[in-house]
Amino acid sequence: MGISFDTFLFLFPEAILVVTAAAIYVLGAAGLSRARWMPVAFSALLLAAWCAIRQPTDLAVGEAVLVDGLGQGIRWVAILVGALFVIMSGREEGHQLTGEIFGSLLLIVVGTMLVGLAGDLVLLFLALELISIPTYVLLFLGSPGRASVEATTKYFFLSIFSSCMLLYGFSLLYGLAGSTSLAQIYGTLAAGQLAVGEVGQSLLTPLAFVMILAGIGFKIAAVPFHFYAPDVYQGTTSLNAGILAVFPKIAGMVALMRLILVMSPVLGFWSWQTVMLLSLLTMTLGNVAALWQTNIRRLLAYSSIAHTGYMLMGLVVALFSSRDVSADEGFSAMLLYLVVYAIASIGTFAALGWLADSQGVVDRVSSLAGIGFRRPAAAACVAIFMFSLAGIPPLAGFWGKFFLFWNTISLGLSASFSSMSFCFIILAVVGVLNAAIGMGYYLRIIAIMYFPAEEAEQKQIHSSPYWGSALAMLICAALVLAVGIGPGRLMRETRDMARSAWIERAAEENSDAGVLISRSFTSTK
Amino acid sequence: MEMPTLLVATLFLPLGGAIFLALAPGLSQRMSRMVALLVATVTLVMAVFLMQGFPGNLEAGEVFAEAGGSWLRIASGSDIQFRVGLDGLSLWLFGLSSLLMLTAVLVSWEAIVERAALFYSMLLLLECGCLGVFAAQDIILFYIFFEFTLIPLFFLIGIWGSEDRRYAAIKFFLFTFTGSVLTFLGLLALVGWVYHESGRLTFSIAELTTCLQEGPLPFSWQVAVFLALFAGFAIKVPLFPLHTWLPLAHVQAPTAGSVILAGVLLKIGTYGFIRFSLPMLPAASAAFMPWILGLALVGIIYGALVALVQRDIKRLIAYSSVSHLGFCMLGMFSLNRLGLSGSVLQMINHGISTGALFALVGMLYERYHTREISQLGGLTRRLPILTFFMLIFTMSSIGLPGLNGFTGEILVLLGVFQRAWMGAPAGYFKVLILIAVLSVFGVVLGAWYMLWLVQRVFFGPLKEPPRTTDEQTITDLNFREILALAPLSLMVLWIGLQPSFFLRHIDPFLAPVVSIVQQNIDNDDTEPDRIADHTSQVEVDNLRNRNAFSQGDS
Repeated sequence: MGISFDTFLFLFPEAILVVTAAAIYVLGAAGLSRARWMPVAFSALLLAAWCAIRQPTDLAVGEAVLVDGLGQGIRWVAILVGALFVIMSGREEGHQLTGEIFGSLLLIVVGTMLVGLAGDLVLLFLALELISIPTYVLLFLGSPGRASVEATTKYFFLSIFSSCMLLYGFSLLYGLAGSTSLAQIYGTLAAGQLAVGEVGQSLLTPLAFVMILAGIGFKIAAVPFHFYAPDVYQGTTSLNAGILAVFPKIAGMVALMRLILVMSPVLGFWSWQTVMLLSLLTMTLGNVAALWQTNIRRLLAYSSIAHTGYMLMGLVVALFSSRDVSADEGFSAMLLYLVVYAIASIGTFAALGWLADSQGVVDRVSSLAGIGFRRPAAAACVAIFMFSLAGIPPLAGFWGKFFLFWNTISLGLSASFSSMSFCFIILAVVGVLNAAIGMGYYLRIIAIMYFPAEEAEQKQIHSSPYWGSALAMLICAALVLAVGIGPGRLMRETRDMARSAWIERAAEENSDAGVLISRSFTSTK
Repeated sequence: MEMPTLLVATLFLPLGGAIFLALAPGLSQRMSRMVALLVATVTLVMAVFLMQGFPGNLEAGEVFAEAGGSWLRIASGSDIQFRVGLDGLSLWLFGLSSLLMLTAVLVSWEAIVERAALFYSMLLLLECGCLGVFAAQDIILFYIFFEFTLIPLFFLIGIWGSEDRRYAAIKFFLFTFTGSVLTFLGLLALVGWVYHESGRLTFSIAELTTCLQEGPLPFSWQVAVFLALFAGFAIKVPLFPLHTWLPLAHVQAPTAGSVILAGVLLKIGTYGFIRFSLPMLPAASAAFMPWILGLALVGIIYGALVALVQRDIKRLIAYSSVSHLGFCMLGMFSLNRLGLSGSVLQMINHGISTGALFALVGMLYERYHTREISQLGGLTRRLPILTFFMLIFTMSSIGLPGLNGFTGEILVLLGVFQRAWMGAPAGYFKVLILIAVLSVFGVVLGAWYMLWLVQRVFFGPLKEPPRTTDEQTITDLNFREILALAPLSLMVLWIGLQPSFFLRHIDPFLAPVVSIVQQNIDNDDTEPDRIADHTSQVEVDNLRNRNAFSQGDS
């Protein structure tokens, strides 16, 4: 499986970013300050975007890379998110003189892009590692101190551990199907020509699925693999916490979606039941634990855990309706939620970064007290993000929740599953109640900003606020409002992404045989 | 201007005003209140034009001034629409919202000094939300407006409220939000059911109503969905025992917030019941009828008794709201024409009289900086005009014949008596009679606490809280304050003297709602020969409900 020239051409945007990252790592030692590297990283992203647009469409790309809507969509999401983070990190923080942060950031962006494009288990694994390894560096580059070291160490070991589990799952999958190519694995599984017998399949498939779920569960911070998140978020800078809250989640969710699609022929009832359990636990624990937090990044960590739970709802729907059209709906709802969540999270961390510039470290929730009128723009943006995360209309977050709940409840109502429908109703009810619980702490943040009990002790640090954070914050706020008022565009995009992600369909389009696998609810039973 | 365009303009004008006030830099208090007054007045004028153009012969299911288009295409041919329009039910509530907003702006005139621009911006945002709730013809659009009203009121209470405002704002928001997310699920379930039954994915309220009446949900589902909707609407109403957020929110809110909260926002709950629960889930509504009547009665008596012992005028009026809304629910869940018309009329009455009472309390507070009943007395000597208005609205609130409260209450009582005597589900006959009889005591109690309040505060020897020397003398209502109250007192008289003018628009909408619920009680195929007189009607009801419940259990 050599890499053809066309494949290289197709991956040119990624290549640009990797080369730039390498250059930054090497030349960063020369001591150029961070602010200088920002335009370099930003223009690399622009160049990558330009290449992605101008790319010829008729490339004969190797099997290891998937050319489909999902991959392309995630590519764009990664570039946009990366650009926002690049803008946010253009300012020195404390003792940091490092340009390396941009190198790491670009590598993480590449990793996320590759996760979307990966058509092979090996490439998928490498892409996920490409996100993890620069993250260790980033965490070390964060604020100095014991907390930071502890956070990094914790993240490092748990991340290695989760990678091991993921690899174990991958190796089982390889053992089952005899190939690392996703398309071939799918073909083998769908045809039922497994290397192992019936018994082997019934034992190994769940094991592989659970291992993969555990490995990726760490990256997306799903309960019970979430333990690191609160400590790590708390121990590092706002910027790093933002990166952790967004990139691994996008990559993990997309990887999980790909793998579920590949494994769909052999996934039985147990799969959606497992994910449903995970989803219920994740959102409930995340939301309830967040209620008591006083450290703002810790609070946001639990909130991001809770949002993983909501996203998993979409996967439950997709898993349950395996090859039905509602599977697309489940995936697309999940993707929509992912994007909407990412925007609001980035905005929140950008706002925190901006506030930190002028009044010192924003660590505790109470240090936001009274900023509603002292810093009206930042406070208004944070309020918008909080309301969006909570799912209040007419903001973007509402539509994320709308599609998730709509799909869940609609599945619960479809008459053919009288015994199962109960589960989905429960899922939906727990989901909305969680939204109400979550409202509790989002509201606390807003209340503390606008109706403070007492004014926060003000440590005026005389540095002018950094424009990049403000810009990122405003862009995110505008996006949240725009998606809230006109969600149609994003909905269509995510739906196209979900629809195009079916490996089986791509195969059907290629071969005229087109033996349609019956797209009915019963096919997995 | 075309009516549909006018309706859309009426909705968006307050929004535009709100955005302008929020973003325009450095607006003074004077400027911002002028802008708000202008916007509120123009909105009111446009709403009056709309109401005036409302055709008298609108058939049931028809919508006046319908406007809008696709907002979000879910599947081909199925859109979430931005579609607004008015019908007999929403017409008066729409008008009430725009009328009370004028009062709200006028009573805030001097009271709001700090961050006035933001205050009026929030107020106008709230108006946009309220008008939208009543005009929405799409179920998702309804929910969006429904939820959206929380945000401005949250800030109104939290920023401009009194001491305990933060707690009150959060409690108000969380309470109503928790209920409304369940409502959201219920609304989605309605859409989902229609989708799975008829294959038609629609979010239009009118279409959903038709579909659900042709192919109703199975009873067990109706119960589940009814409870989901109930969660949100009953908290909003508020129905006992879900009312605990209300007195707190009222007491802590600034006057304008209280006026809108009592006048408009509580009506969203009752409106939701009539718009969704009754026509879309008739069997469940019929089954839950005795229970909700019971809760409504407890609310009436409890609210009145608690109001009796209050020392704070505003708290007293807040609890009187619980009591009055109990009457609304009582009439509504009589599930007959009399009760329902009474209920709708009572919504409007309560909006006017309680809104005005809150405004009056606010005016008193501005003068004396206290709301303690024990610190005030004999104010009629000092403030004759205020007392005059107070008397009008008190009389309206306790249901003096000739004023609006009487018409509403009598219809509600007639409705509940009719239900108790001539249509009670068997086994519930005695209970319903008891409820009907006790509800009359609610009226008596209502008169008691209101008249006692007026007696203590406005009559007897003059008693004022000690004043610091440099304070200016207490003056009676000025022109602005009279202007805030006068339209409301005119409405009190108008509705009291000519209720048919208002009822004739409401009735055509209610007729099919009543008939579908009634049909649901009548249509029992197993007992076709027993629908002869009222006695057997009772039996049929009973059988139907028993069947229904046993179905629900299985």
